[in-house]
Amino acid sequence: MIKLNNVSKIYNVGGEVIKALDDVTLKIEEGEFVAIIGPSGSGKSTLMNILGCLDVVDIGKYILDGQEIEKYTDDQLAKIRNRKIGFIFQSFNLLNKMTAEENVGLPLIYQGMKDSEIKVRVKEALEKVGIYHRRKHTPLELSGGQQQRVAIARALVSKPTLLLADEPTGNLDSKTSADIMTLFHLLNDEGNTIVLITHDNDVAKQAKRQIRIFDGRCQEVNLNV
Amino acid sequence: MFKQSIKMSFKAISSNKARSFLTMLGIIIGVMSLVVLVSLASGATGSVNDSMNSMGKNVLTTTIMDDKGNPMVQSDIDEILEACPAIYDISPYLSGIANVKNGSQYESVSITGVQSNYFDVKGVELIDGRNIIDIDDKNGNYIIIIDENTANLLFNSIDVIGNQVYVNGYDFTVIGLIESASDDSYTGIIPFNTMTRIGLSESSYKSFYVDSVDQTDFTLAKEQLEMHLTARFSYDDEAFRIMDVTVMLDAMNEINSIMMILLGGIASISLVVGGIGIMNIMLVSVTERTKEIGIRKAIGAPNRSILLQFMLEALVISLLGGFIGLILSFIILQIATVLVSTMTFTISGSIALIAIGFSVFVGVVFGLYPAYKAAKKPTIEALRHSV
Ligand SMILES: Nc1ncnc2c1ncn2[C@@H]1O[C@H](COP(=O)(O)OP(=O)(O)OP(=O)(O)O)[C@@H](O)[C@H]1O
Ligand SMILES: [Mg+2]
Repeated sequence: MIKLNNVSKIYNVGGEVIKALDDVTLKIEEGEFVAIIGPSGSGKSTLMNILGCLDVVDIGKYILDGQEIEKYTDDQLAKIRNRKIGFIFQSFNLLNKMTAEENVGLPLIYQGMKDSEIKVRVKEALEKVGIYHRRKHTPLELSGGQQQRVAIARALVSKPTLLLADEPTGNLDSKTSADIMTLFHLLNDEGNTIVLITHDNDVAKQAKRQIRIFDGRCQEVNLNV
Repeated sequence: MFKQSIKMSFKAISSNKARSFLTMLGIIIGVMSLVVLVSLASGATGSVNDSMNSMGKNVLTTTIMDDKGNPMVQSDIDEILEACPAIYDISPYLSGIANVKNGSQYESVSITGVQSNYFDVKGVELIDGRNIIDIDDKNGNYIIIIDENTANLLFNSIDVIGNQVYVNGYDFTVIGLIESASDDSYTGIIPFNTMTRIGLSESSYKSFYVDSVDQTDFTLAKEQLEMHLTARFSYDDEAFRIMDVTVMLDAMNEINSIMMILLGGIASISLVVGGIGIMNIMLVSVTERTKEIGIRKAIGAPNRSILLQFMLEALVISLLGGFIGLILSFIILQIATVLVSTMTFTISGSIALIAIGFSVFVGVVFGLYPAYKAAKKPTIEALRHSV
């Protein structure tokens, strides 16, 4: 489903060239649960931004569902993000002026879906993450764990093929983190493809496959060893 | 999606009420000054026109200022009529002020002494009674036509034909009734010769109403009359004065419309300033909401929907400001009408439309750049923004 062929991402800051991704080749199949692990500054977020079509590669090719991403315009990329990808961020990235259910419904509004249909889908998503009872609350009235559930519901609501999570438990305590991880397992069992970015070994261990990244270079971790 | 965008823009506006209101204030004041100033100017024009219209049909009011020791007589009038084919008729008149009395009721009334053609030349129509005819003038009969105000004051009624009044002590019979020119005018009309008989004015041909053959254009009649009178008074064109009310009216209306354009222009500048206020706030808002823009784009908002969202916000602010400004203008004009009792000020539909149209224009023009800026923000950079 996901194919990265010799991908590099290069930043040029004040004359200094930083290779955030350095010749990365990667393949992820549908239904996989992959953890990407590496220290701070190793290029994890850069990788996720490229996988999530938020950013484009400088060198190489990114192919999502057989489509070469570089060829698309801003709005076409927006459409791909909207339909195929669900984002879960470390800092949740919810809109604080909106209630939980409004936040979750937003991707569907951009699809131009009817209000009645949006309502059904939002309820379904909020129930799946167990936060339906707090649907009228704004993010500021919710705990971190609750906010992350709302964010996961928003990622699920458009029934994407790929869930991308960038340190989803980074701002949560260990108990809440465990709950969120349980939720990810459940979603993976239901057939969702999940790419989880983390610098926490304990979290990474729970994935079925681990990829280690260091200085922009990727390496498969052999779990059988 | 459009409906959702409108909802979102209202939400954004109401979530920062004080700021939105202050931004709106620029538009409110702009629209208010535009509508109020233009309406005041057009109200003034309207009342000038009204009072001009109440003077009846157009005539050339001609006055001899200096007869060079050779005063006009009836044969002069006949000569003018012969020499000036564009002139339809000439009616000499005398004027004075007399005390008109019935029992204990009296009033100072401005009296005009006229010949029988006065009614035709001036286009005066009676409400009741009859005109002055040649025989009244020849005999110097003691008869009078009074206006409604005088009738009401003296008799408490407008059914006055055949009643007696005293004009400076002389016993007159009321033969006719005319409309009053305005609320506080008291007028009476008597035969030309009667005027001199009761000593209200010396008999002289110094003032005339001159009617033109062409009822729409008095220029030719005026030219011919000017030429003839200049020759008559030793080629001194200062010896007489010919007044054309329509020319004055046109001049006045021109001044008024220039004033309207000037005032409208000044008011428009304040609207533009209001628009710059909107742009300023929208730019701040775009910067403040960089993160929000990033999140929206990350979850699939196309650029045009971000553009639409911010455009609508600017548009809603300016439209709302426009409507509030219009309502306030209406209130101010109502108050002005009460204060200036002789004039009525109303908002014409066209100025209301212009004001609202202008608000929309300002909203779109000054909302466009911030909205475009918002839409063009790179997703990944916006998302990385701290707030
Ligand atoms: N927009 C940018 N401009 C310049 N350099 C950048 C930019 N984004 C990332 N980098 C650089 O690219 C490298 C990888 O950054 P990235 O954010 O992917 O790291 P990360 O693995 O997510 O780290 P962390 O665990 O701290 O989130 C870093 O050296 C960073 O300084
Ligand atoms: Mg990161």
